[in-house]
Amino acid sequence: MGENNLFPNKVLYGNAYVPNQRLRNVFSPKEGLEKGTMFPELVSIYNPGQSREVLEFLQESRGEFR
Amino acid sequence: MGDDINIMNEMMNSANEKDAMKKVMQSMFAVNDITLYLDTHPQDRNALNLHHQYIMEYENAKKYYEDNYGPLSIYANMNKWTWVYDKWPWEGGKL
Repeated sequence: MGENNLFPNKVLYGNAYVPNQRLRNVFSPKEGLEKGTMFPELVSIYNPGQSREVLEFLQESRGEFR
Repeated sequence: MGDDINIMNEMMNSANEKDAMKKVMQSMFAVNDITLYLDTHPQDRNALNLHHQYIMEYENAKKYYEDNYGPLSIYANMNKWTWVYDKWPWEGGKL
């Protein structure tokens, strides 16, 4: 894996890859513990049914939101 | 009147103790989370520096807590045996 690449240069079919994280600014320990991660780029608030794919699927199937 | 002051002192003390404990937990979390990053980026100098920095914060927070409010583990130095005098967890003491 290249140092600055998000993914390996050579990928294999049938394998899943996680983007290679790059260190940027980090939270203070106080804020980190509250948010559940020290890394701002990893903050991910879970809202049931609100992932983009689910919303797109719902919009497509209902039609009136398009 | 004396009782009121004692109760107020105890409340202040327990608020300070909570703050001291929070500092321990926060620095502990920071060490843990940077460790996860280092697992996949073992050569990252900046992350290693952060790891070092948070360990120092943790050591200081732990020392401050133990000096003021008692041992956090059996590995703490104690000049008197205080375990039996603390509240039990079901009495509101720390786990």
